Amino acid sequence: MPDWKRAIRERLDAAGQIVDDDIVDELSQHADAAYEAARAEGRPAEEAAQDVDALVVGWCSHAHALRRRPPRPAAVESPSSDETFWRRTVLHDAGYGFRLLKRQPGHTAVAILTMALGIGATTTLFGVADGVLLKPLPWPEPDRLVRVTETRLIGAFALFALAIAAVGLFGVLSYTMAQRTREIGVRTALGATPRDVVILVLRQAVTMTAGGLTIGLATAFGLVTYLSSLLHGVTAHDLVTFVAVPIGLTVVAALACIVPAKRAAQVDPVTALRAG
Amino acid sequence: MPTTALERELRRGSAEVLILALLEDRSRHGYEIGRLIDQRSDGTISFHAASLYPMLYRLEDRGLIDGRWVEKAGQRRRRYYRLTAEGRRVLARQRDVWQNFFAALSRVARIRHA
Repeated sequence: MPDWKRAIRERLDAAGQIVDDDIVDELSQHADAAYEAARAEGRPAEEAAQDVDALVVGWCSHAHALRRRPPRPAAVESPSSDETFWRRTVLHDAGYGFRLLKRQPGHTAVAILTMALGIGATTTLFGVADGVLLKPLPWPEPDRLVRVTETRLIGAFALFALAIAAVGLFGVLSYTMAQRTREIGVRTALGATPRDVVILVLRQAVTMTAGGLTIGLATAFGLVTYLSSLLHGVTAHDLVTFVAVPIGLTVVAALACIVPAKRAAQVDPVTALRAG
Repeated sequence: MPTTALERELRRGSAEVLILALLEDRSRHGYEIGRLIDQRSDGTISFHAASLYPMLYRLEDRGLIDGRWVEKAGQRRRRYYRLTAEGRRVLARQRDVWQNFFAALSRVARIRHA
């Protein structure tokens, strides 16, 4: 079989055309396949070669159109990574998230308090529910001794508080993202990938959630301590409540972040810059 | 085959939807795309190979298809094209446009299509 790759290269060179190696490779494969097909149909080798040669001539006369746009390089180089993973990601992210929030103290305070309220209320209610409803009383046959009728009510309150925390976080993040559309547009125009933008959003969300969790858990601890003096079985040292509830809420917070993060990643730089 | 201006324009206009449609179910390489268009249209629409690759590269630039080199044991590496999510949307839109166009043609000019 003739060496089509070399033939194509020679013709392109003769025509003074510069074409990517990859493209020459692809065309020579096409030539090979066309030649083989012609031979398989029973055409003599010379005739098949002539046909394919005509093909090659056609390509070379349209060589100006045989170009793939090179992938756009990022205008801003990502920083070199000789720092450790911990310093580069976790600490850096926390610091950056904190600086972002400091720029809008009022907004941040409302956001964190909303979450703290939700988290505090949820933790308290779960603590009470766990102590009053789930743990067996220290008497034999406790079901004959007491009848608790508020089971569903307390559970419903706890779920309601959880919903408030989730909706609050979702709303606050969506609002923040809407305000930062222009900034994200600039970042995208400078070469930020959708992944970078999602990380940016998550960074801020994680910082806010951490703030909300701290305040919320402190409040809940205080409240449960107070309630434990009134209700039997409720203690402020209930590990299940103080570990499980924050983990659950962090998951909810992560879910609430996904929508604004994805939306932010799809911001079209041109629209964003014009709007701003 | 003498090529009229009408035929040329029709070929240019339909190239995109043909390529996208062929990549709908599976990824294919350039030669296969050209051959299938030729075969399935009984030679009525035959792409000049010179215009096939520029067309593929343009579709790739627009993010409708995605070309990748695939190496299989005992074979030369080949560039396979697959349809992207955006390509799928564009294909659906173009199908509608052609459908309406054919329906209108058959009503106005009494051109039937199967």
